[in-house]
Order: sequence, then C-alpha cells, then structure tokens
Amino acid sequence: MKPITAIALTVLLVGCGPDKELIMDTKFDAPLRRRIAALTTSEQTETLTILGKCVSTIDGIMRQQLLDAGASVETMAGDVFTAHVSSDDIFDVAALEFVTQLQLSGKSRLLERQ
Amino acid sequence: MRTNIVARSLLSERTRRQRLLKTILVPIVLWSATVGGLGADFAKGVKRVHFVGAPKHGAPIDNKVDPGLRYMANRYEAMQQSGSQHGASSARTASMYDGSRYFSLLPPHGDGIPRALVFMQVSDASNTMELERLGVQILTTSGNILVAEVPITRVYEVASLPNVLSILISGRSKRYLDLSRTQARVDQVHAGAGGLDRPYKGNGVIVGVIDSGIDWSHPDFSVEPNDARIQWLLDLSDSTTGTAGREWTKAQIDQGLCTEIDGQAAVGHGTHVAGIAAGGGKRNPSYVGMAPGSDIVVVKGTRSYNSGGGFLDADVVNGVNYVFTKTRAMNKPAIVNLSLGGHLGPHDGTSLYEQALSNLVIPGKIIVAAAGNEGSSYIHCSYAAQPGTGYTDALETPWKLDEGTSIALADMWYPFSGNISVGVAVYQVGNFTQPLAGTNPVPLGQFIDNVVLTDGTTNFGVVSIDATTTADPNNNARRVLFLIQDNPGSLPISNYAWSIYTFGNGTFDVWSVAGGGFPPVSALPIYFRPGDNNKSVGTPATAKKVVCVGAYVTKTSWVDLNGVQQTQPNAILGSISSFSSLGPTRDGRTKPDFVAPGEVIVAALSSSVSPPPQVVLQGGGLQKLEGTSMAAPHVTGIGALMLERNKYLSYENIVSILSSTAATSGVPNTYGAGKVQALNALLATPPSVDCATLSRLTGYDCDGNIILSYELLDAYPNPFNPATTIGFRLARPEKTELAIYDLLGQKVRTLVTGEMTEGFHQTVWDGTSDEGEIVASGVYFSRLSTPKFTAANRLVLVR
Repeated sequence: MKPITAIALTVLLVGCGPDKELIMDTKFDAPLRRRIAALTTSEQTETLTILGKCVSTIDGIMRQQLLDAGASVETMAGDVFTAHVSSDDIFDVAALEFVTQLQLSGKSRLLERQ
Repeated sequence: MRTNIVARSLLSERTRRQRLLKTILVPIVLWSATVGGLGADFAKGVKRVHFVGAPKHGAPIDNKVDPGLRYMANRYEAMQQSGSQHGASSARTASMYDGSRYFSLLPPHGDGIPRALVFMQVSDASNTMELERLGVQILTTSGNILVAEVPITRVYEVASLPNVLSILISGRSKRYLDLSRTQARVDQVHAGAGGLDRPYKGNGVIVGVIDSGIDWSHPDFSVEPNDARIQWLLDLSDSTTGTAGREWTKAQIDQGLCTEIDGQAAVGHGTHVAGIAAGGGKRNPSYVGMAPGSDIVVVKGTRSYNSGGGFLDADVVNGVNYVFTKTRAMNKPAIVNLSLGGHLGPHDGTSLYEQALSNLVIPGKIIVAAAGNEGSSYIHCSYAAQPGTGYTDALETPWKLDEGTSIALADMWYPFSGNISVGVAVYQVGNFTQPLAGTNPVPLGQFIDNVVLTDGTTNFGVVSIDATTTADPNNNARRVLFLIQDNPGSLPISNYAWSIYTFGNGTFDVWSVAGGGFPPVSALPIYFRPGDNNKSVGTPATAKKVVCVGAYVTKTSWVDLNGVQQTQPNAILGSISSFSSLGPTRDGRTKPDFVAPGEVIVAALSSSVSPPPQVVLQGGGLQKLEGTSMAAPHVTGIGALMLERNKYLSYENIVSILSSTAATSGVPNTYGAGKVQALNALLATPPSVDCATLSRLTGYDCDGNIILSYELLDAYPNPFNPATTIGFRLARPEKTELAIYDLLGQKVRTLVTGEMTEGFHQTVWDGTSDEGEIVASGVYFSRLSTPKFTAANRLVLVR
C-alpha cells in the first residue's frame, strides 16, 4: 500500500469509530464516502445535500427523528427523502435504524446542444 | 350585402370548377389523340408543356383580402352550398381545421361559424366598434396592425369597412416551431380536427418547468398584459427568504414585482423550453407551443442568479415536489418537464434520485425528461474483463480528457457475480504503447485516495479510485468511482492521455461523468477496448417512472436576425438527431420511450440574454436551439393535452398511448416506439373516469393521495444479528398483534399486542423469546394479524 493511501485510511479510521466505519461501509454511497473522507482529512465541516432511503414510507414520526438527528428534510417521496445536513451530523442521521442508505446529491446540466 | 358576397364567391367557385374541368379534360383528349406519339417525343427529348388555368381579373376588394384568406372563405362557402344540396359533411368541414394544411381555420366558438386567424392592417386601431359588431375578436394590437379572429363568412364584409386596409390569413409561414407542431400533429389537436370531439390546448392542466428560469414578462406566458399564466414561480437562486428559494405568486408577477431572470449563463434555456411546452404564441401566432391553454408553474432550479452552475439532484426532486404540491392544492393535473440530466449513477432506475422522482409520480402527476445529447459521444464503455493478476494482464480503455479540464470523473457498475480489479494509467498523447505511470490495481472492496501519479520526476495528476461498494443496497451491484484531478504546480491533466485498466471476471458498464470520454484512438494496442455511445441515455431519464424523450430533425434552416438564411449542419429532415442519446438502460429497458422534434426548434427568447444574431429569428423575440432539451417539452405539452382529456392518466397510460400511436421509425434504442403523434394519442386517450373507478384501478384517491392500506414490511436488516426492525402499516385503528414464530409454527415472541392507531408503526426484535432467552440461529416468521388483515414475512437469524 502506498504511503498516501495508508495515511488517508488511517485518518479515516482514527477519525471514525468502529460504528462510523460500519455506517460508511453500509449506508453511504461512494460519492458520499469520498466527500466525508475529504472533509475528515482536511478537518472541515460543510452542509451536504443528500438523498436518503428508509425502510418504508416516511411518516411524521420518522421525519421528526430525521430532524432531531440534524437533517433539514425537504421532500419526502415515499421511502426516499432529500435533506441538507451538516457533515458533523450525518453519522447521527445514518445511525437511525430506519435509514438504510444516504447518497450525496449529484448534479445535472441542461441538455441543449451548445 | 352578405348575399351579394356569397353569390359573387359562388360564381367564382363555379367558374373555377369549370376551368378545372377543362384543365383535366383537355389534356386527356390531347393525350388520347397522340398517345402513340408521346413516347417518341420523349425519346427525342421534346419537352411538352401544357399551359392550364386561364387568368382572371379580381374584384377591387380582392386587393384587401390576401389570396389565402380568399381561398379559405370561398372554399368554406362552397362546402356549405354543397352540404345543403348533398347533405352536410362534417368531415369535409373538419378538414378545413387541419393544421397540417397550408391554410386552415379555427373551429367555431359557439355560433357554428369557423374563424380565420388574421393579421389586419387598419387606418385607426382605436376604432374597432364596427369590427366587433361583425364578430371580429381582436387578440393583439401592435400599432395599426391587429391580430384577430374573423368569422370566415364575414371576411368580405370586414374587408369592405373603410377602416380596414388589408387582411392576411395567419399561419402561412409554416416554419420552425409550428413545423414541429405539424410534424407531431399537434395543430390538429389544437383545432379539434381529425375526429376529436373538441379542441385540446391543455386547459385545466399545469405544465411544470424545472429549468434555468423563465422570462416571466414574455407575452407567450400571459393571457393578456398583467395577466400571467404563471401561477407560481420558485427561484432557488434567490436566498432572500431562505435556502428553499424565493416564491413568487401570480399576483406579484402580474404586478411586475418578480425579480427572477432566465440568465445569460443558460442562454435562456428555461424560457425556450417553456415556450415549446406551453407558449401562447402571443409574440407571433406562428410559434404557439404545444399546450397554449395550460397554466404554468416554474422552478428556477439553478442556484445562480445568472442561471449557471447546473442543478443539484435534490433540488430537482424538491422542484418536482413543489409543482405537484401546488397543483394538488389547485386540484389540477400536472406534467413536469426536465430538460436536464447527467451520468452519475447506475443508469438502472435505482439511484435514490431516480427512485424519489418515480415515487412522486402518481396518476395525473407526470414527469418527462430529455434523453440526453450523447448519441455521438463516447461516454460509455462496456466489455468483459479478462482474468489476470496485474496490469500486464489487463484490458484498457482510453480516457480522453477535455482540453482545459481540471477534474475527470467516471462511474463503473457491474453485477454482484463479478469481481474486477481496476486501475488508472497515464500515457503521452498519441502513444498508448508504454504508460508513463499508473496506479496499483484496486481490488474489489478497496480504494486509493488522492494518489499522485508520478514517474519520479513528473507528477501527472491526482487519482482516487473507490471500489468499496461491493453490493449497492439498491441494486446489489458493484460500483467503482474514478477521479482524476490536476496536481497543484504540475501540468494540467488534459495534457496527457489516460486509461482505465481492468482484470478479473464480469462485464461492466462505465460512464464518463465529467471531463472527458472514451473515444476510439488510432493505433491502439490490441488490449485496448474503446468506448461507445450505447446506454448514453442519462439520469433522470433512466428512472422507472419518468417519460424519456429523444430528438429528431424537423427543421434545417432559418432566417436570422440580420435576414441571412442559416443552415443547420449535418441535419437531415426526419432523421434522428445525431446527438440524441441511445438506450437501453443498464437494466435493459428500451430507451428513449419515443422521439419528438428537437432540431432545430424556434421558441421564446429570454430578454435577459443576448445570443449571437445568427440564432435569433428575424424580427427578434425568438431563438433557435437544438437538443433533447427541446424534444422533451414537445412531449410535456402533448402530455398536457392528454391530461386535459383525462386528468387521471398514469405514467403507464401516457407511455403506452404515446408508444402505441407513434409513427414507427426504426431501431428501438434510437427512436423508442417512434415519433410522437399528438392527434393519434388524443384519439386513443379515454375520457376521465369517476373517482370510485379511479381508486379501484390505481389505489390512489382523486387528490392523488395513496389510499390507506395494510402492509407488513420486510424486516431490516435480514438476515440479521443481533436485532432487526419490523415495520407495518394499518388502514384503520384496530386490535393488532405482531409476533415471531419459528418453523414449527410455535410462537416465540409477541412484539406488539393491543389496540393500534392507523398508519405506520415499527418495532425491533432482538432475537430473544418472550422468556428473555436468546433464540438459536435459523428461519423465523413475523406475523401481523388484525380482524381485517393477516400477513407473514420470513426472517433469518444468523449468530
């Protein structure tokens, strides 16, 4: 393993406890993992725009738990929600049992041909 | 007066018919007489010309009425006369409303008299009393030019008024957007022709546009000045009132208070798209959009005032939800246009972005998306990896980066059954025989982060590869993300040629998401596998409940602002646009669903942008653009027409009807089901059903709310250790029991018992019995029972 890879891994693993490791592996998609890794390495915090999936259609109780965990929930579309959440709080959101996955919001562009 | 006019026109018609008869009979007689000699004449190269149609003098009033309008007035009168003699023929009259014809009429308003849409030059535009007395409806006044509807039987009476200098029938210039309307047979739908029971213009339907914004002051989006068709406008680029954007009401728009613009950075994209889907043709009646009777809700989805910067997926979801929420309050059906997309994700409908959009779609709430413009771009690559243990065994794909790009991103997906190691290598441009440097192979489940690729002297770029997604929870597939970035202080990454290498087993799909592509390169070594343009339909058009639209060519030339004829390069009328993205999706669904006019399309131009004069139409106010961005709003508008006929149509209904009525064109993953045909689709659309029938068929009530039902959800996680969560839903308050049973049917644990409220509930089973003992590994069942409902699901406890 190259030194820089080892350093990055170490930062990640020290920065995250075993629970966080498990959450990153099981509940974060790859772009979110990369973003969290970058923020951990640079010791920065930012508000992330995410989409999340739950075990079932999101109801009022679940929404309140998401809010309590730090997610500013916007749209609830069946079992999927959109939210803004601080990178400091994202593990609390992911730790909710009914949350099965979090994805970092991608970006679209307009489709007129330049 | 009217009697005289009718007599005069009938006389003209008879004279014309007699002359027409002569023009047919005379050549037949001549041909009969010389039939033996014609062939010889042609053989000798003698050119025979028959001059037919003797000229006649017109009446003085003919100078006021243009020939097209005279033709329509006389033809209608002749039909009425013929109808009274031989029985009325509604089909023949209906043919006069056929928008595909060079001249056509508008259907009656209620007096039974068809109307002609005309431009009228008058000496005094303020003196319209006499015009109105004759049933003329004035739509627009511009100087001494009126745009008006005139009863076809009163054309000559109107022309005889001293105030009227000339009348010209509208619609003679069948060009640009109206050409695409004709191709898609929308004109006939607007006219209520071709067998329809009435005209359809999208009345009572909301067209939603999530885009770069809209020029809300453009007359195409108003009924009258200060009477906007835009009911709501949400501007996400304006954080004055919070991060959720600033909302503008119709009243504020009417008062001119709105500060939103459709800015230069997006070349007025949203205004153009809205013009295609719903433009009212106020600026120029030749450029009416697909659903001119609809109301509009707009979300400016960019976070930049000047409309640059792209769209966050979450914002797109929020925008669609905003439109549907507003329209639910208005009790109207809605169809939302998304002329945007990207290539991050599995392209199989399972990303949360795609799922969220699909979840929002219910009967009467529809989403349409552009397929993408990568039909000629090598943004995709797929092949079966071959076994090996390192780079020397690997197959490679050239990854050409865009000039000046500082970051390149690629997203690879392959089935759970595969196991592929990957890496990135860098070469000198033009020489793929010997790499300058490369990453170590990254096996399944591992990653490298910010590795500086170097030969010890030169740093070529910074590479990250994440192969840690061994089973994505949404599709169980494996995923690898590749990221190359400039190394600070070094030459840009686009100065080098790059590759992705693979070995192992399994067939993958990889998409270039940003910064480059996988084009064929000359003199590639045999172990290179270049990319292709397959599976180039982007997200969210790959979502499972989003209508996906490709583009074909309906126009190849236009006259620009300077009066110069411009020609679209490499475009063939009627053919697929070369840029229109190709299917299928990664999970094998045919895409696009169908194609619509997308090249070149002329529609509304935002007043906030200044495009080059070559793309602005003569007269201004309109510009030409091309792209699947322009095709999607054609289908959005046509969908609005269908929803006017039946406001409960589902996604499945819309796709099924438009597919079955499309003009078959060719390869499914290029054209989908073919070219959309609005008239055929409207004819195939059943009228609305009552609420009870709708509820029975769809499971939704008439407000689009899901009807409360019973449900026992699968436990999560499952298999599990040490605990799992079980959710369930009740349709009504009821005595309920949720219990765990073993394979022998013995109750192990009662989790819930007693009266429960309706709605969702969940509980956790920690793998213990009612006695608190830890139960053994094995298969168990969760069982939900109420007086009205019973269900069971399987659980696996693994200790």
